[in-house]
Amino acid sequence: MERKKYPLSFWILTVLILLLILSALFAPALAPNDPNKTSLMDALKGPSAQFPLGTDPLGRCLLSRMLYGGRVSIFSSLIITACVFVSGTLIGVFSGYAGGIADAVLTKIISITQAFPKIILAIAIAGVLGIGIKNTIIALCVVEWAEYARMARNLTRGVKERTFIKAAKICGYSQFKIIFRHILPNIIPPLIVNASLGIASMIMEVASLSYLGVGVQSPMAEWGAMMNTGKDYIQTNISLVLVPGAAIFITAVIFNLFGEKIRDILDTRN
Amino acid sequence: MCLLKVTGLTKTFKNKKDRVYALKGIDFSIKQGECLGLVGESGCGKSTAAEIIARLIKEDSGTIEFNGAYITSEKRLKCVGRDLQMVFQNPKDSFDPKYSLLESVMMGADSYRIYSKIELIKRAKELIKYVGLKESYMYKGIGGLSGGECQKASIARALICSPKLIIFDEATSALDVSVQAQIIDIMRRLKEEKGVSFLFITHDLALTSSICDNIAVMYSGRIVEYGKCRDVLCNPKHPYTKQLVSSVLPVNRRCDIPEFNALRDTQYAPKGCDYYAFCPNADEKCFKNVLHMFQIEGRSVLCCHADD
Repeated sequence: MERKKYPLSFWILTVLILLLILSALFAPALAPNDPNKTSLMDALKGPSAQFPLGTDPLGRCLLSRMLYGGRVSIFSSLIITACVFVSGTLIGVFSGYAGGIADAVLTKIISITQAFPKIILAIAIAGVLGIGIKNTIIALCVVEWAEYARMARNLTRGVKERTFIKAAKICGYSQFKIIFRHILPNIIPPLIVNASLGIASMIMEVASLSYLGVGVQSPMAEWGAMMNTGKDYIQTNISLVLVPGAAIFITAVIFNLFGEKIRDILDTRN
Repeated sequence: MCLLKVTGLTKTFKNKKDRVYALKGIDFSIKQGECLGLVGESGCGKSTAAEIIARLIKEDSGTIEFNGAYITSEKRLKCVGRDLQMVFQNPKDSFDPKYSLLESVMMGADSYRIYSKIELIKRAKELIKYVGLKESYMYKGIGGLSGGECQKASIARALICSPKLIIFDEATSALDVSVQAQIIDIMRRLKEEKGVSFLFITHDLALTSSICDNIAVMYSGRIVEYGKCRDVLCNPKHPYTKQLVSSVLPVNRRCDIPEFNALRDTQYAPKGCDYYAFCPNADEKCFKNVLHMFQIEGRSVLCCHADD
């Protein structure tokens, strides 16, 4: 099969995403200060040589906290997306391919999960499990898998009816082989597009939970939690909200554009 | 020797409220190297019969004996799949767009492990050439091939295991006449050179007469006439077959299109006769006699009174 040529914009966005991931990964080397070191003497200072983006109410370096915060925000959303992508796809493919009672039961469970307001359900789960990044990830996984499962189920039902599946059965293929050689390769592209678009919303959901106080807790740096801290000073020192807000916005935009580019490349409309 | 023997095959599909009878007990057989044409209007149960024989769907009752073994109880075709293959109506959709032509053709023998990898590639390449496809297509995706080329590739895939019987489920319906002729030519060569048998499902009576030895005319889930192709098409006995043959329009002159209007209300039809509404021979005897397969001039005809 011939290889596709990727447009320049795809490579630019890939480089930007790599830069984001590398900056989060090498935050300890890049951060000018210790993100958790408090110094009331330096509280709410403007940009200076020592603190390039200023400090927060506890005198912690804003730039260092933003770089460290990226670790939590980006990696947790990548982990959640990977988990819901794999679990949702497997459940959806099983439901769509098996049909019958299994499909009816799983579809009802998916519908029930999707009927709840996502953030409210995530808050409830995180509230029951306790505060912390691990529980935030679990809560969002429990809420988000249904979307992928429904999509995978519907796509599987479409592919299952196609003639090449009948041809594969006549060629003696096992159910397992049909799923892995014919169903999954045909349904994965739109799911990948959905996942890459979903990373951005996942970053915002992690930030929302932290902002609401059920996600990451102090002193751990996370963009949503940083905005939560900064909201009381929005009148006097807007950079406390602006810096993490801009980080969330830029990261979300880059992942969104990347997802749209992947959609164009895979051309999943057909 | 009978390669395929189908006896009393029935199948119903559940609709939301009621049951739809797709097959109401059909019997036919195919000998080695023979071609049976299964003709009839859309929805008469031809494709259902084909899919049951290929074990894609399960029958309600009846038996299928293939190559000396009863396959009716088998859930999957793997036991006989090497000897029974199928070519589908939609040529483009018969192939997974994710694979190249060569990979797709090789898939036919993938599960049976009868060839080594090198032998399999060699055989796939030979068959691609045998059906008349260019070598340059081998590593390309199926998307770049025309409908006719895809159908030839389907035949190549079906042939890779050297099957004894190939089911052509309206495999020529979506193709233009010149490609149809090429497919018929491939079928003839396979029949003569390799002794392959065919179950040829089609709407096209002209194609049936050019390739088939026997013909079974289906109407509403039943075979209404079954016999030698030439006898049935030249001198049809069942009123439905007569109507079907008279519907073939000649290419060289204008002629009247036969009417297919119901002659009477089906509500009062005798039990079992689905053709009563259209039958020009229907009379009070239809209600007295039982529907039965009569042997008339060397063929089987389903009717309630054979004296007409």
